[in-house]
Amino acid sequence: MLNWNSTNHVKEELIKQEYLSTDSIDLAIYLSSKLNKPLLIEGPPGVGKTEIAKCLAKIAQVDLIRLQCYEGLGVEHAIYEWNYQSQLLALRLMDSEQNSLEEKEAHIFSDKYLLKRPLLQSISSDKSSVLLIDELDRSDEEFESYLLEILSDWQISIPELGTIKAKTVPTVIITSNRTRDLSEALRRRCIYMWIDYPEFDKELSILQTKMPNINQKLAEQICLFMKELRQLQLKKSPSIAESLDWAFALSEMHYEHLDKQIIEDTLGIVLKDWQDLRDSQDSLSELLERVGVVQKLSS
Amino acid sequence: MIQRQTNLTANILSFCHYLRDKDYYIGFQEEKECLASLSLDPGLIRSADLFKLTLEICFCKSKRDIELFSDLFDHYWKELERAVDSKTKDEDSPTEQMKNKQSPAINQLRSWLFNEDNVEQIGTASYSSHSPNDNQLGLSVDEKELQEMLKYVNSLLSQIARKRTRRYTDSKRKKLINLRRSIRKNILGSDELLQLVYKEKKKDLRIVLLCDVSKSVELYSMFFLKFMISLKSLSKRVEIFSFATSLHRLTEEIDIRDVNKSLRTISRKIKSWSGGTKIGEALDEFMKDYSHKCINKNTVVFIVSDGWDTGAVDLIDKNMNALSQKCMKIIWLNPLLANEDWKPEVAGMQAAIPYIDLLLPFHNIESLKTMAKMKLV
Repeated sequence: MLNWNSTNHVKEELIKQEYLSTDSIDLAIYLSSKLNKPLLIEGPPGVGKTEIAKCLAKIAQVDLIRLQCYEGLGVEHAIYEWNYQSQLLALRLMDSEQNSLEEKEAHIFSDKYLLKRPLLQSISSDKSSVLLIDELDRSDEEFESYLLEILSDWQISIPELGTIKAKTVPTVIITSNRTRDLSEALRRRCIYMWIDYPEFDKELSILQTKMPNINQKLAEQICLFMKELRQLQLKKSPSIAESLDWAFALSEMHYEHLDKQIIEDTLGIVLKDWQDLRDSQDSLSELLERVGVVQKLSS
Repeated sequence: MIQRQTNLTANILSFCHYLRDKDYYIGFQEEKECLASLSLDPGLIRSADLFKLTLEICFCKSKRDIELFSDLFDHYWKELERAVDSKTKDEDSPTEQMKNKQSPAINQLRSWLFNEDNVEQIGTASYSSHSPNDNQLGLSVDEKELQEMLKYVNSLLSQIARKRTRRYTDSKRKKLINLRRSIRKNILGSDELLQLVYKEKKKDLRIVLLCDVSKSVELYSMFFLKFMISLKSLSKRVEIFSFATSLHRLTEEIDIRDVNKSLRTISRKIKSWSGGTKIGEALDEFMKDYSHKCINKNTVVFIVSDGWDTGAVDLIDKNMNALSQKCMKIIWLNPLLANEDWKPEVAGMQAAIPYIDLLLPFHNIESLKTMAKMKLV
């Protein structure tokens, strides 16, 4: 499916999808593909973890199967579930027939009544796919243990049906925001990658790639301001997603540069926490002055 | 002192041993994958940066691993190169010397992988068991003391865990059918149980620790830190916060594999260390930002503080009231309680007392030992 020639090949393909990667991202994707291992990506929210899975699916022109994790996620929502109501109905219909108990059992526990959830879907499909297990840290440890069998042996055991082996091995991307530590067992089955907030130059390139028509000065100022904002002790530091949203909003409003008033009016796009918003607004002048953004902005 | 053989397998193995000493989880699988990765593309060997990056991707399994890797790699391979240089100095021709000068260890890996006729060299490298940053340590934990602490915290947690109820609770997970409730739900319908209700066992108790790190408890700060680390090591369902004039979440900062590093990180993160105390404000922040995530009727909240407070007392009253309604139990651990004449005269303590389920002394390992024997929940 994803047959990479080299790390450069990975980089080129990602650029075509407007994803500006780093060497470590390219190499991690290359190795996970060659070694047939899932890619575990950790990092703060909004730095482009999920985007990698989307890009890989587009590059390979296959389906992206997404499993969004949450507390309490279990087998029945992630792997499979028997269609209980249909099974009951089928049993009622079979009452008049002279089937043996074994035959009835075999019928109601067949593929027809099996509701495939994302994990089973991805390994039982004839076509290859990209499986995105998003925000795994939100799920319980119990669910992580279920994943181990799938990620190491590419198979799922269903008591009534036996073991289902993968017809095609999907490209698996697991993301985590580190709200809790994932188990060592899971980490060892994956290629690990950490994505941090981008450097100024990288962020500027991302803005220019995603929004080719953006004013150069505005883009530079946004990146510079974001860089300084991330130095503050905020509850939720702004990420690339916020930079893009902000750049898009300012461009739509035809602003060509930043000033204090614009920042104050639109800071809600960047900071998503009331306390952060209040703290940064209180110290905005001081912040801009201290980091030298004011001089840059007015020049 | 370590010795190493300079063929590829030994190089990788030796580096893995070195990393294992630094608490990296590296097994045979990782070693195998590393060799397989390096043989995928000649470019991964030719470029020193890519070689380093490949090893990093193969051996690092957490953010902490990545943060330390660069220093460890540089340190290890520098020692390795020195050893090879000293050997080759006597034996190699000047041309060979030039060839090997840039990166002998990498050259050997390359020759091994691509079957170049390069004679394997044997050298001895030495390294210090201390990481480069260890010298900068201002804080450190005595391993023996920590083990003792772990023992009593383990008993404490066992006491709390024993409270686990045998009752079931409703569940979204379709594991166990709650037959009684399923029948009740379908009683007006057909004689079939079309809609099922599920149940599951109640989960372990969750623990939240709010620890005072202000000036007034400075004497006990090391003891409190060890308590935090022990709790994190032994329970996965624990959230740890410190407070003085502001609140800090420390759950992620505590790395149970590297206690001294955790101490450094914590001391860096807490700006208000040994400053004033504003319990009410800290509790207010906790209730606003974290209570919805960490507190429910299955949570035992430990507050470690002497109750000295310079903030708003009405905030303590308001937030302790809210907290007591949301959690299972509030246990206040006060180091001053060791003094028999102590009375809750300070305003902060007086405001909090009506909402506290248990008020216990907490100043040394003996007090922890006593607490571990008590029925807390």
